[in-house]
Amino acid sequence: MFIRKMLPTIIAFVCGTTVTVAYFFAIPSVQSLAQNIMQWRSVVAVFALGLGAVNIIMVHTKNLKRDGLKNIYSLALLAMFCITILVGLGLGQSSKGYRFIFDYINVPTGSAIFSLLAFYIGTAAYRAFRVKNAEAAILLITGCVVMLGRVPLGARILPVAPRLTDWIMTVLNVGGQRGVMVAGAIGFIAVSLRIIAGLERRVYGVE
Amino acid sequence: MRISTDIGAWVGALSALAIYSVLYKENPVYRLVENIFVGASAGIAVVVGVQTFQSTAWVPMAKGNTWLVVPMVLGVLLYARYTPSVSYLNRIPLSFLLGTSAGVAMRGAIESQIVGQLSATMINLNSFDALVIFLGTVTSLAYFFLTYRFSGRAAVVSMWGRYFMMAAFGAAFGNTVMGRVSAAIGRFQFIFLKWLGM
Amino acid sequence: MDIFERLQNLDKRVFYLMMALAIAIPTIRPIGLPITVTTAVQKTYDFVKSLPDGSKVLIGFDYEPGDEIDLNPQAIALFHVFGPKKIKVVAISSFPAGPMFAEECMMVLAQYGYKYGVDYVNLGHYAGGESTLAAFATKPTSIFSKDWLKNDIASLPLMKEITSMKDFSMAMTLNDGPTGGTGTHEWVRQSVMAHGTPLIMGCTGVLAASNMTYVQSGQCKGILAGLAAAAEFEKLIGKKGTGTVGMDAQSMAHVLIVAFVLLGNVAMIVSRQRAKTAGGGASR
Repeated sequence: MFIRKMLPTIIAFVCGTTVTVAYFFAIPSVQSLAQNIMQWRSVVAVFALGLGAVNIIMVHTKNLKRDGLKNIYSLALLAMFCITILVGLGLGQSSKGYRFIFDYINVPTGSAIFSLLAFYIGTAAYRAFRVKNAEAAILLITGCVVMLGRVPLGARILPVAPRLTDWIMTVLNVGGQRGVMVAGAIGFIAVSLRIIAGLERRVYGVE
Repeated sequence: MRISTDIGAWVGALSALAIYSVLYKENPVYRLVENIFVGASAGIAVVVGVQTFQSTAWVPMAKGNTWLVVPMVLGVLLYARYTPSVSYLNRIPLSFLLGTSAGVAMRGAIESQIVGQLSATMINLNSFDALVIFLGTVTSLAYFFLTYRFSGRAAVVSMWGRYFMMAAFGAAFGNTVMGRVSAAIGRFQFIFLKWLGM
Repeated sequence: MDIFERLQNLDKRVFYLMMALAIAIPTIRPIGLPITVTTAVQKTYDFVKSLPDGSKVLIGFDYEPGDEIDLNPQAIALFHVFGPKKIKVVAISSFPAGPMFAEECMMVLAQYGYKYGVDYVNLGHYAGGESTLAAFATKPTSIFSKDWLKNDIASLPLMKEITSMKDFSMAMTLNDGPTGGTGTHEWVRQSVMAHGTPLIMGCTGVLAASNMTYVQSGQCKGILAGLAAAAEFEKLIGKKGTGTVGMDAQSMAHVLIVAFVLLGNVAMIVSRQRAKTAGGGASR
């Protein structure tokens, strides 16, 4: 019971309070403790990096056990995973092999996946972006002006676009975004306080 | 047109084209390359993680900072989630991670995102721009007053807040389009200039 | 069926093809449209130029594959400003791919006679996001004992001059968001608010709007947003790079998307008018 419920709550409280007090009060012992806590956190976070990899291995190994070698997708994923680790840890991250995997497999494929959205935006622009009310009109007009203002050809089509874009970004946008940011920060602080005070324990699995 | 003889250029270009093939139709080549990418990304994360572990924990511990064994044990406990009988032990490192980040983020957020932003709004309203920023901030904040409903004439305040936020989201949309198109430009430059040598 | 209905029912792959052509044609046959420098980029350039010669700068390469087309040109353009001023550079990264991008971009420094370990260092990746950045800002050696090339930190002359974030004249984050690493808000909190180190941001287009508030408030000294900003910065430094090369294609794609939006809305208005007329006719 203590380890399942009380200990996690105590740990969250002690760590959160220590780093907060260390920031606002110049107490050398507390600041030193806070620095150690943050350093320790960086070590624990390194182990967290492996969680995704373990999950991938478990899911795809299960797929292979179920489907055998017919499941070429899981096979390719696990093969590439193992090859990358062997090359990276064996030959080093400055090696030609590792750089090849990064520069010619990881980066091009990742960029291509990211860029698919550009094409989907193109179709959505015609089919879905409709001015149905005042809010939608404001959103689309400012969006279109910014799109034209950020590129040289846009400035040729609408000469006032670059200056208008500058004004939208530095004045109009700031007003709206600031309200969202402040409101978001207040909510964020409320949740953080709840976690530190032990009122929000579902985040680490305690009911 | 001079097609590259570099095998890397061929692999990079064909990988990108395999991904773009999904725009025509979902197909096995796209799924295969996607899975290869996921495998490579996960592998890179592990390789980098090992080096980060050496730099952040192992080497300092070997040099005398033996207390680092404690966070290492906590890190290992993160993997207790995969063993049902001891999965509750995973709560200890999670509470450590979340409690610390909550404290670190909160202490800075008060100053940077609330005090800093609100002080920048309380400027001399001697220009149109300053007035727009002030009104935009006040009205969009009023929109988030969820415990009090503005009614009648006062509802205009939160309505204008909505309009200012839509303008901000429009600006964000315009810039988002720019970001995504840039990614496509990068790939096209690689395919046409580096691979095909056009 | 009129033209608008035909367009509405058009296969989406036709739209994809039009987008692809809008990007491909200017890539193969550049137009060379002139680039206008915006206030934000000019402000960033002026700040970077005002840094004292020989000062030290911290750069966070906090992005993943997919955003290198926006952010690598920004980093390289900045290094062309640092080079003649012999500004020393320390690179860190909260994303696994970051150190590789840092290594790639820092190759530019060799043409200015920079020596690794003395004039620039790539410390590599750190895990843990903001908390780790906070610990690094207070005491860098508590997070990194070795650099990206596995050299002992203590053996690097540049790192002997750095005891905390306060030793840097400027911090910069090349950022694509906080998911998986340290975001722009975290950098503002840990460099500007906690240690008073001036910060400039290089970010993807997605983050531009939300981070402009920091520039207006003075918490951030400058911002470079996306490929367009990289192109503008390249114009200011007089060196044509990847940013400038991509602007023609960016122009065509943007104009095409705006055209699609306008066309779609014209189609909506026309069909609404027709529905009203048809409804009015039927009621008679």
